[in-house]
Amino acid sequence: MLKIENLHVQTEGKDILCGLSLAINPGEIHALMGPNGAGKSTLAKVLAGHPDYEITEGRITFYGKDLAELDPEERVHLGLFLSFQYPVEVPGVSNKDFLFQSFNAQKKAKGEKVITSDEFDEIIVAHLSHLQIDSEFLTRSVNEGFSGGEKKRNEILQMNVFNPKLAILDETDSGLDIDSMKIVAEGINQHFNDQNAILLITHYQRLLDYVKPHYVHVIIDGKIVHSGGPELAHKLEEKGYDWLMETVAS
Amino acid sequence: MSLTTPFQETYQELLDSNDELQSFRQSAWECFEKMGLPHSKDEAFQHINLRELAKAPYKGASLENINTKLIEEAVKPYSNMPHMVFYNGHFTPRFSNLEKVSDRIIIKPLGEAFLSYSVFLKNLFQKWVLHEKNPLVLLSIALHSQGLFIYVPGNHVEPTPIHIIEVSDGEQNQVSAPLVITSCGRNSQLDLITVSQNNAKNNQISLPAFHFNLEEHSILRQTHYPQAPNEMRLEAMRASLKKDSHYKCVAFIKETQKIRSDYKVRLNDVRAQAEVCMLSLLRKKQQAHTYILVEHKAPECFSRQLVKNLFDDESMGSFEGKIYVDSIAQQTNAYQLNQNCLLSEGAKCYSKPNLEIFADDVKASHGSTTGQIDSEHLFYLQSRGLSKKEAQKLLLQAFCRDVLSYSSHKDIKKIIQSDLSNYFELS
Repeated sequence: MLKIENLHVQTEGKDILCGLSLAINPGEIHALMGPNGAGKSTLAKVLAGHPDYEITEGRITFYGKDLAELDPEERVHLGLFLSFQYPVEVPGVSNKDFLFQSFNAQKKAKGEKVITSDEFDEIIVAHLSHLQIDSEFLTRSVNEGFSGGEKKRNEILQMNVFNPKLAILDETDSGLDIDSMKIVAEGINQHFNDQNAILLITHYQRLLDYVKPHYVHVIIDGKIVHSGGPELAHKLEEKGYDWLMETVAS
Repeated sequence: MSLTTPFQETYQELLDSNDELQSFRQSAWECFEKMGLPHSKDEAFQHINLRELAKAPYKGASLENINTKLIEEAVKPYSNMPHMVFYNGHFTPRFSNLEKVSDRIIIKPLGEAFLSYSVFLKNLFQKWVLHEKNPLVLLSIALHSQGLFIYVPGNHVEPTPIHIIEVSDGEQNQVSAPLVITSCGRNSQLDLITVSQNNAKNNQISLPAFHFNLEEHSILRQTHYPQAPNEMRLEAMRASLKKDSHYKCVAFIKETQKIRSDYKVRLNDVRAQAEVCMLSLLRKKQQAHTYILVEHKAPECFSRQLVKNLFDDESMGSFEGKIYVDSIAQQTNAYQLNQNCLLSEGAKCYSKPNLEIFADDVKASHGSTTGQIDSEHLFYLQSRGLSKKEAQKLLLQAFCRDVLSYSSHKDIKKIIQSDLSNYFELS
């Protein structure tokens, strides 16, 4: 599904990713962990097509297509979704309009029939209820005045509505209290199946208690230095990253 | 050549008209002569180039060879609604349709109205000419020929909006000065829709002036929709408000070669309220300049100014807004915001919000923002599957939404929505 080979990325002349490689297949949940500034969020934004980042070397393919040649929306139409670490507030654009138009834009791109606003209401109501979100949420401007938890739930709501093939969740657990995290985790688990995949970017083990990864990767200084199973996350929680940094240094 | 000479001939011709308004034309002209044409050194006019005003002699736009086809076209969207037509600056009752207007409302050519409302109108003009600071408004009073008078009697609520449609079809170097005096009696309500349709040749000048007098507890809602693709439009709105009255103006500007909108609203008595909201959609080399002065002259009054501009291509504009709070105007609540969005590198704008406060118990705020579409907003929307164009459209619609929401007229809203869609398609 996703293949990243020897990826080098720069922003404002500074190297952020330095030879990162990763492969993700359908039916897999990958966790990407690492210290601050290691390049986790950069990887997420590069995958989504953020214009501030330049790929200087290497290649990313998604279902065989070179992502570097695609605009952000074209990546979405292929089935890629990024849940932002800091979702932006968009004043004046109602959540409902935004979701509805995005949903139909994706349908159109796939050559499917667009749906009416009433049909969309039926779809969204079910998702709102699963994530315990009040319907008043839809009339508000996108993320404007939302609490940190509400913003993250809104991201998961979008993921559930769009049903992507690969969801990249960038620190979805940050800013969430325990109850909210359980709801969000449930939303992620509900979405996951053997036809899609998830890349979880996180600092902590706690989200991984609820969403079980198949693989855990550690990124340091812009490249993956260690990969393992779920037990690696426990070890990191216990020992931190120092032991890996020392290994890398030696 | 004197700076007032280009209009001398037109003024001289009007001196023969010998109506009741002659003395006010004369005093307005004298004041205009003293002031002269505005100059870029005048702060209120520093961003608009008015040099062409001084170039050639301007003739008064005539009523000969009336282009009835153009009038019909302009009137068509409002044909089922009460409407009054100005043709080349002259109020022309024969093209107006007032069947659906209540009998209680007085609508007359200004000269005729002077016969019945002489004291009121003399008083109004005397004060207006005496206090007017904008020479172009004085010029408008001096050069107007057939103005319009509307009087809504006390306790009357007019259920249907009344349209004032300005149609211009002048030749080159013509000047027109439509003048409208509206007075709303105590407890009355009126909805006014002021629109313009222009087929003028280049280098035509229009000097429309509107004066609104609001008695106690009256409400006047104005939706203003001027289009002036080939002319320089230098318009003025003057509103004088008494106790508990409310003036609300929502203006939508598009397809204007060069427009300057000059608002002066005076809150004369307690709890008067004024709202001026404006949205301009500009492209090519179009220009829109806005000057708003709201004077709080009594306690507990409320005012709001919201001016939003979208500039594409090489369009440009300016905003200068002032809230003046007199020392007796305690517990004033005043708000002013100008927001500009530049859609191309060649577009430019100037913004100057001002507060002048002499009272100590006042809630007043002002702000100004100028920028481009936020690239993070754009990326966020694209990352959900919208193309850059669709995302931009959604963001621009959001930018315009609050001004649009101020208009309560469905028909006009529909027209504006369609204008917005066309504008976004081309942006």
